[in-house]
This record gives sequence, C-alpha cells and structure tokens, in this order.
Amino acid sequence: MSPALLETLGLEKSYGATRAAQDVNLAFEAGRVHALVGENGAGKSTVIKMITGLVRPSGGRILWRGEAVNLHAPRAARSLGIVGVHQEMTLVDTLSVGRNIWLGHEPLSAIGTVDRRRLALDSERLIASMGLSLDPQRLVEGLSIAEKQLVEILKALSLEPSLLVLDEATSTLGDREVELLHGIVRKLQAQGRAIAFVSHRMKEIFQFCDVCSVMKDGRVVFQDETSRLDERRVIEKMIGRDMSQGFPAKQPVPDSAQDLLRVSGLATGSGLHDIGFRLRPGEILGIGGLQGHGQVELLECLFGLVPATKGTIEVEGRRLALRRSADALRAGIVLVPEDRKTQGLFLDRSVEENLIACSFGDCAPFGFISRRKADALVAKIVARMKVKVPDVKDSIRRLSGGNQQKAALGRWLPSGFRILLLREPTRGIDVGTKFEIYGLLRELADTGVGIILSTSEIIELVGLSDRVLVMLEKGISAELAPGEISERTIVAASFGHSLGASHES
Amino acid sequence: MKASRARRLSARIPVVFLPAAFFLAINIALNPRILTLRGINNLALQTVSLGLVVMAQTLVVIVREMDMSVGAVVSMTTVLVASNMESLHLLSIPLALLVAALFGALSGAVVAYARIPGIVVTLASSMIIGGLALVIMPQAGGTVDESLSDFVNGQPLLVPNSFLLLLAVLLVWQYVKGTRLGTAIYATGGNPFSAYASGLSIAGAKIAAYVGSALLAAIAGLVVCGKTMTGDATIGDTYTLSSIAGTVLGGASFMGGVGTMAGAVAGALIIGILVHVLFFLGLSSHYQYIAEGLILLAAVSIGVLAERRGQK
Repeated sequence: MSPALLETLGLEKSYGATRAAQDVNLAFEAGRVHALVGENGAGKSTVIKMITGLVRPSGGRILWRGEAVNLHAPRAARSLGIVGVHQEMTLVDTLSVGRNIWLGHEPLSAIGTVDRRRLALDSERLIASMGLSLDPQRLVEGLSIAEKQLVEILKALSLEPSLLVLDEATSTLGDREVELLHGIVRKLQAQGRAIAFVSHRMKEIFQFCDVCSVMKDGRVVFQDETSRLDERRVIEKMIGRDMSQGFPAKQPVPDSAQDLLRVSGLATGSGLHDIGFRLRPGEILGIGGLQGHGQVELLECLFGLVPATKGTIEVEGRRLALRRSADALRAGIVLVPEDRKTQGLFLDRSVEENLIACSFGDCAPFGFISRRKADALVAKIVARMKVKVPDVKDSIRRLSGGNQQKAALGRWLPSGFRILLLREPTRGIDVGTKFEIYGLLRELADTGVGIILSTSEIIELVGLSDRVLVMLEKGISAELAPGEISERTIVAASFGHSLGASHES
Repeated sequence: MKASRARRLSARIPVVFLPAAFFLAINIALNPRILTLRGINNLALQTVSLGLVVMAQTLVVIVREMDMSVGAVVSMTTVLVASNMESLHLLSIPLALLVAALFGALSGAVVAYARIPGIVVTLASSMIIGGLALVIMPQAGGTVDESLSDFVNGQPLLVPNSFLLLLAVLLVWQYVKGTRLGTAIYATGGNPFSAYASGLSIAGAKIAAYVGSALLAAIAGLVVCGKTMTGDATIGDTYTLSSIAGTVLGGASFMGGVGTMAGAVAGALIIGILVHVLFFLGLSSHYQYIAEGLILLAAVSIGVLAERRGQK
C-alpha cells in the first residue's frame, strides 16, 4: 500500500447530543480515488467538512503526510493542498468566472493589486487544458448550474491540490460533463494526487474510484476495493438491507384509456417547438435528454409559468389557456420544482405551515386557520407520504432532503390534483429514501394521477416510466414505448440517434 | 429576485446619471451663473461631504452590511477637531481620524465576531458616539484654525481642494479595489460562505469596510468643519439617512457584492443638485426630504423596470 497522504484517526464530530461522525478512520492515498458513500445524514459531508477545514472536529486526529495537523479553517487546509469542491455552491455570483477561479489566490502585480491580465490568461489556459469552453470574463450569475459546477471544479484545480475532495460535485452535471470530469480525475490520479469522491450515483463510484468506504450512522461500516464490489453490495451496505425489490412494479395502462392531458404543436418564445404528446391517467411519463434541451421550459409551460406561443394543451378534452400558475392549479396541474429549498419550501417555517401552505382555503374557512382542521390535514399528509418528522412544529430546514421532498410533494395532496409535474425529484436524496419516493409516486399514479417526470438520472427514467419522451434541442427526438425503454435507447435518442428496433432488456 | 444583480447595476448606472443631468439642466436654466467656475465650485463644495458619506455607506453595503453611524462620526469629528484645535493645533486632525477608525474597528469587530447584524450594532454605536460628542461639546462652538478652512475652501488649482480630496479618495479606492482586500470585500458581500470556503477572511473584510467607512465619514467631518468653522455634535445627524439614499441612487445592492464609488458620487450629486434646485425655486429645505424620497423611489423603479425589460 502506498503511504497515506491524509489519514484520520478516531475522528469525531458532535452537535450537541447528536454524533454526526464518530471513530472515523480513513486513509486517502496518493494516486488513488477514494469513494465515500452512504445515505444522507450518514456523516459523509461532516467528514468531508472536517478534512477541508470547514468544520472543526470534536475529537480524533487528522494526519497530513504522517504529521498531526490542525485544520481550523479552509485557509489552513488549502495551504497544505487539501481543496474541496462542496455540495453547496461556493461561487460569488457577482464576480466573473476568472475572478471566482482565483478567488483568494489571485496573481498579484508588483504593487499588490490583482494582475487582471495574467488572471485572464491563466483562466483561459486552465479552462482550455480541461477541454472546456467558457469565457473567463462572464459573470457567474449568468451560468447554468452545470457550468457553475464546472467553474467550482476549475477553482479547486487552480490550487493544484494534493488532495482534491469532490463532494457531490457531479450531482448537477450531465453525462458529457461527467465524462470530462472523469478525464480530469484520471489525469490527477496519474500525477500522484489523491481524490476523495462523494456521490449518490453508483455508476460513477465504480467508474471513478479505486476504494469505496461506506458510512452509516456516522461510522465507517465497510471498506473494500471497488474492483471486488458491485452496485448491489454497496447499496446493501449503505442501507443495511437487501435492495432486491428496487423499483415498484409498473402497471400497464390500457391503450383504450382516455387522455388526461393532450399537448400538440406546442411552442414557446424560449425555443420550445413542435411538442406533442399524451398522458393517460395512472401513467408515469418520463422526460429524458441532455441538460438544457428544453425539459425545464416544457414543465414551466405546462404549469403556466412560460406562455405558449403556439399549439394547444388539453386536459380531459378541455382546452386550457395557461396564463399563470393559478390557471394550471385550477385545471388540477401541480409542479414540484427542481430545487425544493429555494423554489418549493419555506425553509424557515415549520413543517406544519409548509404542509398547509397549498391548501389554506381548506383549513381556514373564514380566513383564520382552524387548528383542528390544520392538524387533521397535516397528520393525513404525514401519514400518507411517510414523512419522518419528530415534531411538525420544527422548522422544515431540519428535515433530511428526502423528507423535505416528501413534504414538497405531500402538500399538494389535499388539492386533489390530476397531473403532477416533477423535476429531479430525488436529487441529493439518499438511496433508501429514493426508493420510498419511487413507491409513493407509483402509488399516486395508481390512484389515477398522471405524472410527468423530468430527470437527468437515466436509471430513474428506465425504472419508473411507463413511456419516455427524449428531448433534443428543445424538441422531442423520440418517444419510447414500454418495450423500448432502456439506458441505451434513451442515451442514443439524447444525441439524436435512433436505434431502430434493436431493444435491450 | 437576485437573478441578475450585475445587469441591474449596469441598468442603473446610466439611470443614476440621468436624473443628475436632468436636475443639473433645471439648475442651469434657473441659474445660469452655476456654469461659472465659481458656481461649479460651490456645488462641488456642497456635495463633497455628502459624497464622502455616501462612499462610506456604499463600502459597508458592498459587504452586505449597513452603517447607521456615519452621521454620528461626522459630528464627532467636528467636535474633536474644534475642541482640541487650541491645545493640539493641527494634530487634532489625525487624532479625530484615529478615534473614528477605532470606532469603526470596534463596530466591525462586533459585527464580524459576535455576528450581530451591522445595522443594529451601528445603530447602538451611533447613539454612543453621538452621545459622547454631546458630552464633549454640549453646545456648538470651539475653535477651528483658519488653515483647515483655507484648505477646504481653497482653490490653488483649477478646482477646489475639497474636490481634489474626493478625487484622491477615489484613487485610493481604485487601488484598494484592485488588491486582494478589495476582492475579499466584494466576495464577502456577494457570497460570504464562498469567501470563507475560498480561504478569505470574512471578519477581516467586514472590519476593513467599517474602518474605511468611519475614516471616510471622518474626512467628511473635516470638510464640514472647515466650512462651518465650528464643532457641532448634531451637525451630522441628517447625513446617515442621506447616505443610504445616495447609496441606493448610486446603484449599490443591499444584497451585497455590488456597488461602485463612482456610483456613490453620482448618488450624492443627485441629492446635492436637488437641494440646489429647491433652493433656487425658493422652497424651504423641508421639501428636500420629500423630494429626496420621491427621487429615490423613481430612480429605483426605473432601474427595476429597465432590468425587467432587459430580461425579456
């Protein structure tokens, strides 16, 4: 075994009575990619934050090249060569790409001011060396989420880290970008640098990593070489049980079923064009494709956030004029947005308040909220969606991502919606809860709701959808029938290829 | 919506200068003499102190905080200078600056380390500083050396000295902005977590902003002192709110990370010219507040509307 670059000995972190991490012994070795996996709340992020200096350990030691070090601030970690790309975006929206990349270690001129010319040149060189095309002068706030993520990675690389920590750095990247990152990681590996890799995507764990450590309840419960593991085994270790059930069984919708939603010739000012499809009650319609090919616009248009310039939207044969979201809600269409934290929930309010937010009318008959009715409503939603919440009066911020997502979904239940629009419903959610949400979605569909599911996780599309629409350049490049849905067909259609009749599994 | 702060800024800067030009035009129409060197000098003189105070406020707003003590620091400076001029002569000036910097550092340290919102901390410190100034000098008075007045009002070159002072401050800022400290100030306001995770010191940036703000307010105090030739513990009172108005007019964002000193000067200029116009219209200075409020609302609305149109 090569000597460890960074080693943790009995590392521990407590927040009050809760132990977020305990007795963590991990070694990150030069030239190796070390995966850290586990469900949300298992302690991965806490460990990552301790080794990058964002959080101070409550106990244990961190050794850097064999010597104990005190990583009291990100500055201290960075000076040693430990650099993190964190789950939270750490870019300054108001600064340019270049300024963000070199933030805190800008090239300086003789009089101590930032050397803008060299900064621009260095940025261009760095961007080009990673095979990307990005204008370093552009302001970060105009970038897409995936581009921001890439800048985040460039920023870390600009420090030429000895240990690069990638915490969910791929969660917003499309397949092409992940491939790019893969190349970068390979290069770093060859240069003898160590990489710590946290991801919820199993595929990447096996694609990128040499070693895999599984965390559960704040401890490292399992570790092995990835070459000796398979996906199933890792998942079992993470959730501590057999994951053989997997996705809920699909219920074929009879062809004769009446259309719940029928869209034809739809176009918008943002470039969406010739969108036509139908959705039947009880059906889950998946929307696939590379990022930024119109999936977001389609959902927003169906929810009345973006006006259609052409085409028709019919619900149960009745033509809709969607001018605002209230029109969509009245027609029984609801949207659970991509980012539950900023677009969906009121993070600082209680779970209870969040759950009744969409049905004030039902529990406040005279404009005042009736305690009895609100309690009943909340209890019903919590039970139906299996939201794990110690006290509904707690701020919803304190729930795990999965439970927040269940709440974001559940609060629409009282409205009796017919059509559910979902975007990335399981982003940043641990594997166990993911499958719970899949089950809940299928149950909803079985009650006659039609679901449109837009997701960048192909496994989700394959496992959950009854039919799949693949989008390309703001249009539909393929509609896959039940027998045709596979990872291969979806990827092919995303790039505009047709695989004809050759089906897979 | 924080969708496009930079675009909002770029949309606002011309908008900022528009009303300034508009009022200047009215001003010239009402009083053509303003176009003389003397008229411009007068206007500049009246705007310099306000300009410095708006710059002080803008600096703190850039780090996503506020400074409610700029007015009190102006007053305190006039008091310290006027009460110590006899014993310390011109040394009373660095003394006053030092005291201001100290107050700024204290406020900044409390904001940065106790993590109390700056608006609360400086509200408290403004009361303390204002109270202390009244204790030192209950009634306006004291003596001010002619040399300060000569310097402030003097004009050996083409433009008044006080105007050159403003330019000098702008130059210093231009330098600071280019350093890592400047970057840290903008980054801290733009995204504090990011600044911290990037190894910058948020506390350092905030303290630096408050010290800078106090120093700028103290320089404004010196200008005021040179004009009035007295120390007055309440003379700065109106500056605090005007500084906030000027900051908004100048295009800075209270979300932090956005704001320029040129914008700050433009914001001060609008208010300064407005006062002039009202004066020549023969309206009492009380109308100044009403007018200031209306201009503020109008400028911000135009900025927001322009931005919205720009997005479509």
